[in-house]
Amino acid sequence: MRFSLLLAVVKMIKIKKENFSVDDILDRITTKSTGATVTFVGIVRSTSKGKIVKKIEIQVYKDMAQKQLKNIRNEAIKSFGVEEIAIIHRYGSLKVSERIMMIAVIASHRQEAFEACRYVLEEIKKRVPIWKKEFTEDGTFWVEGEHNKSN
Amino acid sequence: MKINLRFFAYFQEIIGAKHNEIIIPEDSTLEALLTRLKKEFKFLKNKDHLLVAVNGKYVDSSVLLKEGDEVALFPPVSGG
Repeated sequence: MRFSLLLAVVKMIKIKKENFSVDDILDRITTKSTGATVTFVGIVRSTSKGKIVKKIEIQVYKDMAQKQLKNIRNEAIKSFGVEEIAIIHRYGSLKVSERIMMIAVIASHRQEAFEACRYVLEEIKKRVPIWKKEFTEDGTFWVEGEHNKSN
Repeated sequence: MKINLRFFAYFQEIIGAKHNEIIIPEDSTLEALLTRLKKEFKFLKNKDHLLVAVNGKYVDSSVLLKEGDEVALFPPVSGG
């Protein structure tokens, strides 16, 4: 892959502690040919399985998560024909109502944008090595998800 | 040969470490390593709750390990 193209892909995938701006990301990836953008933002809920959540902590296997997110982005662009996909996922300690992650898809039309966004989210939940730990009034619990894996 | 182990999520709490090293025979498969680890850490025997990656990739357990490989063990993921 050419270096400039590789750099572009790296910029689209971010795993970081700090908050992010939805507008900034959309401004960065939208082009003149974009006809539709679809974004998903995951947010820390105040309750989980009936328990009141005080905060969550997110742990990540960073090197592998970066590769997996890049693969998922590439698969979605290829499968759905969308123009670009940015994925941001935070880690560390987050309070209720804080943003956890964002998927931003740009495409010519809405159908493929929605489908690509859904695909990316479901794949993240299946195979990207990120884990949430919930600190609730009833104790601390690791969230365990479904799993399915591919490279 | 030396293999670098990494553990994530509640595996760290049960095992009491985030990482460790293990010496295994040359030409060992991932399956052989897991068999050995499951004897030491019995909770790993529940395969519905164990995911494994070698050098940051999901691989088949028949893969041959090499000196210095990083093998990560973790429960089903919960990002997103």
